[in-house]
Amino acid sequence: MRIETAYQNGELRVMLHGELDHHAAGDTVREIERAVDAYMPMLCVVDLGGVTFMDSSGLAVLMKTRRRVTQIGGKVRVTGASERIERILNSAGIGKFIEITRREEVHIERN
Amino acid sequence: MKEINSMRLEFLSRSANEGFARTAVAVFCSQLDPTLDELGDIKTAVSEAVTNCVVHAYPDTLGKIMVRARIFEDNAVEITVRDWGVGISDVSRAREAMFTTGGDDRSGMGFTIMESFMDVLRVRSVPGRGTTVTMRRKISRRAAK
Ligand SMILES: Nc1ncnc2c1ncn2[C@@H]1O[C@H](COP(=O)(O)OP(=O)(O)OP(=O)(O)O)[C@@H](O)[C@H]1O
Ligand SMILES: [Mg+2]
Repeated sequence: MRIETAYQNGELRVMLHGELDHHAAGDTVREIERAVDAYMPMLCVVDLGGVTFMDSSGLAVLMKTRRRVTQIGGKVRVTGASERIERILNSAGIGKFIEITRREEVHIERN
Repeated sequence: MKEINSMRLEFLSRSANEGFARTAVAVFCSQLDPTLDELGDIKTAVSEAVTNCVVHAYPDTLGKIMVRARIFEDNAVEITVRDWGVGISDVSRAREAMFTTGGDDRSGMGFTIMESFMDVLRVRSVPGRGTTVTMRRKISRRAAK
């Protein structure tokens, strides 16, 4: 799991690359929380576009991110989820707690 | 139904083996010429079952995990994930969505995901003796082979 962060105008973007499973979850949460504490963002966008595998362990990572960001009064948005990852997010009803934007919506509109 | 091929893996309940187990099963299943979608579903389900052994079956120790995969004549694959850990006292409750004993490290979605990504899910457990999860998935036969 590789984690990239970028901050601009109150928005923290966390880009995850690789396999997000239980083995990777602990370090991933720690790194996200460190970035959230450092930047105190209004909005934290978790970009799953580079995630090649995710299971239920990723759900806990997202919920923990939400908790940390909510504590400082910010919001979380998840983007870039593949179809399978989206199925996992939906089965857990994550959309009730975290805004999920579809992969297509983040791209420039066609015609 | 006649068994065509089978394999068996045994490893320690270290989290590094979660990726090893799901990848190894996926490579074994490749001989059925599955779609990437089918392979992804199987990988996810295996990862859930193996992670449960690592996290729940052996909470404070390292234990043995066994994964077995069998391929049948009807193009179905049957995967068994077994541990000799703490076991589950109420299996039907454990299978309910959102039920977890893992606190905020877990979401209680593992069995629900296994159920939705595979055709059949069977869970047998004896408290203090261990748990056996058996999953079955039929792989579609592609027209042009
Ligand atoms: N192999 C096992 N040994 C002992 N207990 C288990 C085992 N597998 C599952 N359980 C019990 O069943 C519960 C539900 O399992 P499930 O995989 O659905 O959710 P979870 O592991 O708690 O959370 P998630 O899978 O979403 O991270 C677990 O919390 C645990 O109490
Ligand atoms: Mg689980």
